[in-house]
Formats: sequence, structure tokens, C-alpha cells
Amino acid sequence: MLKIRSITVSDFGPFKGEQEIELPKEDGVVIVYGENMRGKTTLLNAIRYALFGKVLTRGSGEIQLHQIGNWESAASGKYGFHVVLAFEQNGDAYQLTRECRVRPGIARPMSDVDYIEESFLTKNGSAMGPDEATLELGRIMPETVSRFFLFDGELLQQYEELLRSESDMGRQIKDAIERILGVPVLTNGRADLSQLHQLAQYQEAKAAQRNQKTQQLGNLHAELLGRREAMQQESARLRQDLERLKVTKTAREEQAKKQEQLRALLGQRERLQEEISTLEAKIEEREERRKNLLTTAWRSILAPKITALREQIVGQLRDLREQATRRLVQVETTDAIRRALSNGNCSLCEQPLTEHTKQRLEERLVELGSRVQDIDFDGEIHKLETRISHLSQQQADNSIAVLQEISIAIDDFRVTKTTTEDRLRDLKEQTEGLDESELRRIYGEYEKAVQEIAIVEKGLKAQDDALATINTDIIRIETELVKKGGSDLQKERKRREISEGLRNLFDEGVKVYRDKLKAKVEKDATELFLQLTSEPDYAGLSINNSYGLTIVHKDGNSIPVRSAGAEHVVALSLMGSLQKNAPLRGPIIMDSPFGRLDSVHTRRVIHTLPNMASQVLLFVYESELEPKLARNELKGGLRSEYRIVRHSARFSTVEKAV
Amino acid sequence: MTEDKKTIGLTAENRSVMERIMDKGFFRDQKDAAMFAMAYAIRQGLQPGNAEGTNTIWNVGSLDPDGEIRILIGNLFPETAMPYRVVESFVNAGLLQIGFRMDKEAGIEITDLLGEAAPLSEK
Amino acid sequence: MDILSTILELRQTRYPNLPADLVKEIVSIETDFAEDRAEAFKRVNQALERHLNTSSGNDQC
Repeated sequence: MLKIRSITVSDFGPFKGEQEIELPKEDGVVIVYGENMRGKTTLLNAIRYALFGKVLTRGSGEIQLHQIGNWESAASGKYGFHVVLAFEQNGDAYQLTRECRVRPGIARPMSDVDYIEESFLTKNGSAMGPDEATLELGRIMPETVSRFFLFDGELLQQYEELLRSESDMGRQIKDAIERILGVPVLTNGRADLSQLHQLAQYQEAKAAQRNQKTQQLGNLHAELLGRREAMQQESARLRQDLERLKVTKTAREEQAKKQEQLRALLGQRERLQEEISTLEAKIEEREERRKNLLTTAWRSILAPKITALREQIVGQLRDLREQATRRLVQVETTDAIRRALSNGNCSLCEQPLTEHTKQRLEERLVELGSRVQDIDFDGEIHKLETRISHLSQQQADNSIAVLQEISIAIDDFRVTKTTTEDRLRDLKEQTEGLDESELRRIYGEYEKAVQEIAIVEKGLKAQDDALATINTDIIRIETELVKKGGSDLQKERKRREISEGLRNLFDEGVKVYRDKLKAKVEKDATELFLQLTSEPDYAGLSINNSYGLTIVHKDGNSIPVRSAGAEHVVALSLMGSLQKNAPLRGPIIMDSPFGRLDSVHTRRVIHTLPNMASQVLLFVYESELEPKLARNELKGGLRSEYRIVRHSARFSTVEKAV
Repeated sequence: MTEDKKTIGLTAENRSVMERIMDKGFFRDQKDAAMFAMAYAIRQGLQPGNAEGTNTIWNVGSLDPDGEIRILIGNLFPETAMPYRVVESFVNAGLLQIGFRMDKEAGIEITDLLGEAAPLSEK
Repeated sequence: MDILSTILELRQTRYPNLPADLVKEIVSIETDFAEDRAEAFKRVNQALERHLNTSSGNDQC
């Protein structure tokens, strides 16, 4: 269990002169209050610097050493800085000093090359040699797992990476977690033993070759081993390619997602353009139809008039025909009267006509004669019939209603087209300057990676199958050798068998340990999470193969997206759980851990902190964590408070609160 | 006694009306527009007259290849002996009316003129 | 949640023929030299050879 005893900084960042923070031997929490820009993060960086010689900025970029020294001191000619970290582990007391001083002969240093950097480690008072020191520090606090102890609240997004195991960052973090949990002990052991096993096989083959009885078998054995090694190398190469391709694929996927908005907009643009084309075609088609109809529209316009006229003429014809009939009757009557007058007899009863009757008939004749019209009935009737016939041919069906409908439709389409064109114009403005070719390139590369992955996976499968076959053959030969071989092969055989057994043991061990670990990490993280969260509907956390944690709802479903606050709480749960399960134990040092949490969660975190690690060091600002709240929640668990005091823009001191 | 016209023409004023009508893109060609204008004028109940100062645009043969229009005008206006002269007067009268309406009513469309029910003269 | 206890337990149930102290030694080496792979391999090899020499010595005796 690593426990820090004190941190001493000298001319480091805003800390002019020597400043010290002492941590008590007992378990508990130490809080350092300081406003932003006063040096809180610098103190975290000081610890990082002491251990690893690096200082990180907010964005995880490294700061150059020559920028770290205190400016006010530099102004008065005093350059360089150092940090001393005093800590204990397993009963041993260590003191780690890392310093940066000006190279002799340089009056005013301008860059890193003008400085010399040195570090010293003492163990229980005795100085350790540089190599020894490096090894010891690597054992106590490896850099790759430091992120789980030196927790910068701003770098939470790294934990989200855990949910996407194929991202480069995701795998790095997974490896870091497995490191802290001790898994590499077993995976490295497996790798070493595997290699030893193969060497043992070669040795056995060589020994067999030396003996006449087993020479042939030995030769065959050696040959197969050689072939297998080549295949393994090929497999390894393919696996590397696959990794590389998967990383590319994921990276392109990320980029494509960012471009998703652009793609959606471009898709919309295309659709709108299509819509406009369709509308234009519809408009054109209807305009054609309208033109066609208008060519003969004059008929429809005149149709009512023609119909009325036709009816009128039909009426005239009817009258004329009646006249013609009357005329005919008239002619017959006149003839009959004339005949009667000339005969002197009535044409009906054949009685002689009286003088009175004769006179009346003559009067009648005159009357009728005066009525005679000089009309060419046939001619006139024919004329009217011709006119009617012509007019009937003229009658068109009424296309006026259709024309009006078409015109309305055309207007509607035009309006829709204008609206659509407006939308398209807006969209074009939005997408102006966005690089479509870039998007296409990304998609192209993504597709290519997907295809290549399929090919490589196929190749790998083939290799694995071939390897399985050759391993079977090798085992067969080794069994033969056991039968045929004499005592001179015994040692080689034993070596092979033991290394094989050990390799298998470690191989199984990896799986068993990983499973146990995941279950335990999940259990401990859930326990912590339930203490930290205020949401009653959350049942716990569930872990994936990359140690990413998802929140599980009471109803059994996973909560997919998380707020920054929720992310915070889950990350803290993971940290606490890792601390509990790691063979490597150390303090939790956090910079602004409450920034995104509300007061309820802040209170809970404070309350739970002492359960997460035996030593907790917090760098906070007062609005993030009220001192009164901290004191109330921690009570005796709060060991001491410090305050970073500002004396000037480039000069702060650390003062212990009484 | 003058003979019937062998060509149909438009007055200068009506030529510009015709251009404006064609710009609207409703008619395939000026012939169609002319027939439309003629029918419009007749339907409005205008009286046949004599169009003055026209410049020839069409041959009656191209406007009325089957003689259908001549017969129709003859039927509608039996008192006239010069149907093509009547046609020309109606074409111009119609265009004049339409031009007038286009000036007065902004945004009026050709199809708005379609359903105009003018009092149909019985005789 | 100890690595050593996990692996020793596994050895007992699945590979009882493997020597427990050799397994212990390998775990210890891999723990101490997690950052120095070359050194770790060398020492595991040495441990294995030492074990073979002792046991074969015993056999011969």
C-alpha cells in the first residue's frame, strides 16, 4: 500500500520558494482549497512530475520543462525547480527527488536543452542506483496505471472510451486497468512459458536427431516445428494487420459520425433537388396538355353559343316544316275547290253545287290564293338542315373545366416548387464550405477497411486451421518419441511436458482470473455506485469486456447515454473498485472532482471517499466543495485542510488551515 | 362591295398584346391565341365590325384549312357576306379586351377568362 | 482476489502434477519484472532449468 507522507515543491509553477503539504500517517482525507489559476492542478502535476518527469496540461499535452519554473524567481535570476515526494510502502520509507537545474555556464536559459534534469530515490535513508530506482518506481507506481490514482476530473471522456473497446484509446485504458489489476502477471507468464515450450520442443527434436533410433522422427519433428514457427509469424503479422485495420475502421467510423450531420444535410439536398426535378417535369407535362387543350379551346368557349344557335335553328326548321305542311294542305284544298267549281259537283258527296255554295267556294279560293307565300320551302329547309348539320359537328365537349383544373394544378406545383427551392437555397447556405470530398474519402476508407478486415479474418482463420493441423501432427510425433525415445531424451521430454503444463495452467489462469476480477470489479463498483447515486431507480452497474461500466435500471435495461454528472459518478465507482481489487494499492489524488456534480451527489461522494482508499487527497475550489459541508460529512475522516493563498499573479503559497 | 379578306392581321396595339399573351406561356402559337381571342370576343357578345390598320399575319388558308371557321361564322352571323373580315374583327376586338383586362387586373391568367359567362346574345 | 491464490488453486484442481513452488516462483518473477520483459523471461527460464536439474538429479539418485 503506497502512502504519501509529504509533497514539497520549490519554485514550481506559481509556488515561489519552498512549499510543503504534509499528509498524516493515519487513513483519511486531506483537502487543499484553492481558486482556479492559483496552482491546484500544479500540485497534482508536481506529484506526476516527481514520479514520471512529466507535467500535463488540461488537454493531456505535455508542458515543456523550461516553462514550469516560477516566473517571479526567474525574474530575480533564480532558475530551475524541484519536487520532493516522501512516501511509504510495505513498511519502507522512500524519498523521491526530481529536480531541474540550469546547465552550468548558462546565464539565462531559453529552452529545455539549457537545463539538466536529475532524480534521486532513497529507500530507508539509503540512496538507490538509477537503474534500481527506475525498477523500484516501476513496481510501486507504473506510469500506465497512474491515471487511476492521479485523477483529473476534467479528463472524464477517457472513461467513455471504455465502452468502445476497438478504439485505440479504449484498448490503452483496458490494458491499463488489467495492469493495475495484475492481469499481465498471468498473460506475460503465459507468453514466456509458451515461448519456453516451443524452445523445449526444438531441443527435444535436436536430441532425437542425434540418436540413430529416433533420427527420422527427430528430423520430422524439427521440420514441423520450423514450419509452425513460420506460420505463427504469419499469424502474428496478420493479427497486427487486423488490429491496424480495426483501428482505422473505428477511427473512420468516428469521423463519419461527426460528418453524419453533413451527410444528412447532403442527403436532404439531393432529395430536395429530386423533388424539384419531379415538380418541373410535372409542370412541363401539364403545360403541354394545357397548350393542347387551348388549341381547340375556342370551340368550348363558343359551345354554349353554338348549342343555343343550333336549338334556335332546329326550332326554325320545325316551324318551316309545319309551314310547308300547311302549304301542301292549302294546295290540295285549292285544287279540290277548283275541281268542284269546274265539275259543278261536290267532290265528297257528288251532289250538284248550289249557287250559294259556288259563290262561297269562289270566295274561299280568293282567300286561299292571297295566303300563298312565295317560299322555296325545300330550299329553305335544306339550308336550315345544312346549318344544323354544320353546327352539330362544331359541338365540342366541354374542356373548360379540365383546363381550369390543370391550371390550378400547375399553380400548386409552382408554389410547391418555389417553397422547395427556398428550402434548398437555405440548405445550400448551410452546407456551403463543408467538404463533401472529405466525407467521401472517409467513407471510401471505411469501406476499404471493412473489406480488408474480412479478407484478413479469412486469412487468419485459414492460418489458424493450418496451425491446428500442424500442432496435431507435432503432438503425434512427440507421442511417438516418448515410446521410442530412450533415457537421453528424458530430460528434453520432461522440459517439454512441464513447460507445456505450465503454459496451459497460466492460459486457464488468465481466463479464470479475468472472470473473477470482472465479477468482483462489477460487484464493488455497484456497491460504491449505489452509495454515490441519488437515483432510486438505478439497480447497479454492469461491466463489459473492456471494463466499461453501464448503469442498469431497476427494470433490467441498460441506460445508454449518460450526463457528465452520471459519467463522473460511474468513473469514481470504477476507480474505487479498482483500488479495492488491485494488488497495487495507493492513494486517490483528485483535482476538481466535484465540478460537474450537484450538491446531493457531492455530499454522497464526500461521504463515500474514505471507503474508496485509505488515503485521499483532494484539490478543490470552494464553490465546488463548501468547507463546512466537507467537515460535516467527513468528521474525523478529515485529517487536515490546506489553502492556496495568492500573493500575486505568479506567487502562491500553501498554508495549513488551523 | 368589297371582297372577303384573304389574310388576317393584327393592329399594332394588338400585336403587343399578343406578345404579352404569348409570354405567359399558355399557347403553343399565336394562331391558338388568335382563335381564343376571337371566341372570347364572340362570347362576350361583341358585334362583328371592321378591324382597321391591321398588318397581315396569317393566310386564311393556314388559319382555317378546312373552312370550318368560315362556316361557323357564317352560321353564327348569317347576315355577313365576309366571314373572314368578321373573324379578323373579332380576333382584334378580343385581343383588345384581353389586353385591357390584363392592364386592369394584375395577375389575371388566361384560364381566368375561360369561364366568363357573358350574356349570350340570342339573335 | 489474489493472483497467486487463484493460480495455485487452479494448479491443485487441474494440474496437480506441476510443482507448486515453481508456479509460485514464476508468479513472483512476473510480478517483480512486469516492466522488464527480457529479464522476466530469462529468470523464468532459469527457474525452469533449476527445477529440471534438481528433479532429474533426484531421479538419477
